[in-house]
Amino acid sequence: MSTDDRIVTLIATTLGIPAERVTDDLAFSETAEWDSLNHVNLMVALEQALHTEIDEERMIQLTSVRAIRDFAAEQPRS
Amino acid sequence: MITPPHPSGDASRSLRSGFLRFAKDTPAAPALFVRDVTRSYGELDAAARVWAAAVTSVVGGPAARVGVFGHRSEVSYTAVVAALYSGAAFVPLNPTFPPARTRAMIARGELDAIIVDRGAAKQLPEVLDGLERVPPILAPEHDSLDIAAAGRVFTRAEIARCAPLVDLPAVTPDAIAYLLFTSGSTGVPKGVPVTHGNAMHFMDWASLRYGVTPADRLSQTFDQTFDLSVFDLFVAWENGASVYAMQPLDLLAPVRFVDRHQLTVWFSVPSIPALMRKKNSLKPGVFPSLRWSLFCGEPLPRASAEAWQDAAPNSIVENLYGPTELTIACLVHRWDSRRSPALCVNDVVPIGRPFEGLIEVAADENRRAVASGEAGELCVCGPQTVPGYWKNPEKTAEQFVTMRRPDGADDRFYRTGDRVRQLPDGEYVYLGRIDHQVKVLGHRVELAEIEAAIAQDPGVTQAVALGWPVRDGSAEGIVAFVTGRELESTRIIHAVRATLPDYMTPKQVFVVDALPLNANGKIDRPLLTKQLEAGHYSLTGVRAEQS
Repeated sequence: MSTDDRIVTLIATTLGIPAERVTDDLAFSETAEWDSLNHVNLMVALEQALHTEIDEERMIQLTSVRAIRDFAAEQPRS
Repeated sequence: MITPPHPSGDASRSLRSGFLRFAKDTPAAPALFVRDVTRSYGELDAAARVWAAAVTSVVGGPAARVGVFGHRSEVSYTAVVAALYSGAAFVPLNPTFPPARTRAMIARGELDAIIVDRGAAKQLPEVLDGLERVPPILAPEHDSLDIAAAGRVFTRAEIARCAPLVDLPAVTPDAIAYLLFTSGSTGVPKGVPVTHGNAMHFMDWASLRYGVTPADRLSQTFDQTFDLSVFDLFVAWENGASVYAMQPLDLLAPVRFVDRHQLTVWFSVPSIPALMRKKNSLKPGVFPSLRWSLFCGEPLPRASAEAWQDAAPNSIVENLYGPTELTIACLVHRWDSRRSPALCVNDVVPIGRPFEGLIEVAADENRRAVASGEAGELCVCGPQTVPGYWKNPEKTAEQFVTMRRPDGADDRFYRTGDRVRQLPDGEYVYLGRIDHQVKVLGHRVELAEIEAAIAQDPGVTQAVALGWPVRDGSAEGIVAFVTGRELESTRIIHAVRATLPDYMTPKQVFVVDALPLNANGKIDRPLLTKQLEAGHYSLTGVRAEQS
């Protein structure tokens, strides 16, 4: 599975939505499933998947699927 | 320079008194920070006087209730002051709620006018559609607002043409300061009118206890439809301090926000420290500027109190307790790292003792005080008990009852529906709800209201909603079970989402053949919860590793 596919799956699983709905424009608070609680769940899941720490500054930037994909692509492959 | 904050016994004092005093004495002092803009007392006062005049003009006389339809915006805060200046009660409306719910609140609240911000205005066509009586709209951020369903509309220019209101209409202690709506079991939101007298009793208690001064900077974490937001705004303004509105993303990054603005008073639901613990960002010493750390709205887990105390070592941590019907809060426990952990029950911090001037009874089913140390329903009387529900005598008679005080006199108590137990030292601990109400991320939710919404689906025979998963006495969400014919869970969730706020919409609806019954033939809710815990139901959409 490519990093991109892994990220889509991770977002879909964490938010509890079908993978087809994980489009680039999907964003925090624009869908009922991506609420505060799930945003934190998503950040924790990303930290584990990418073996990195996401600080508050970063956490409030990673608020769309596009931003999360770009961030994941910048991380060293694990 | 600073006059004493409590000219007690002054019947002319109301929720706007403190703001008026500081607008006159220190007009340049900061009152509000919102979305990168700081407004002084003088600036807000000037805007509110013009808006108040516009309200009076558009209504054609004094307004009784003014809706504030906005979300954490300059308009939504200024409108609160303007409503009070006009002599009216403010009625917060929330653009994150479904339009149908907002429409029901406008109709139930019989609003005389609505002040709307730019974000919320987009919803107006849907919100106003179908209203029998459409109140006039004030849109201070719009140059034009073309809505077919709207009646009279005052936009920016029309508002600006109004001469500022100089002599504000008098308000009495019995007048309503704000009208809030809470979840109701019949499917219709319940209105809770809180008087100026109720609110000022709380304000005087808070001012004295927290010694807030003009140098203080308070957090504003609660949505305005949540009564705890009244603390944020008015404990600040009653004492000449400033209040810092946090946007939804700021609430996820409190360390950054508190540090940037050097906040001194923090007040939020315990969900925020819980989320920070989950994210591992509640670290020792991250909040050095705080001198008070206050929590209310749902049970405070011991671990959150401990972690927050370490994170904010210069602050005193307190757990407040109180339903809207008892005006913001009415009991308090001061966290003491040495003494408090031993007092926790179910790892939940005690709710403490009632404020001075309030009287509590832990009552049995017959509304008599239970023996000391036994569990009972917490009932409270005194100056913070609101007059009753808005235009709902039946519900009022059910929840506001005459009971015997410990001194033998009869008084009018509000039954909280919360089970409590008194500890030997006199403090109370919270044990849970006596009925089918749950707290979801700080919001009080009547499960019956959700069940009623689900039952709208023609195929549903029976519906049960549960708060789940429950962590530290508070639910993270709602799941539901339904029986019936030709049911589709996504269709039900979709339909419910159109009528109820997100936090009340089930995350999962399980279609089952039958619901388990207990010995009394009632649906066995505890068993359903146990089955959920045991993983009897496949939880697509709920993460399996939910800790």
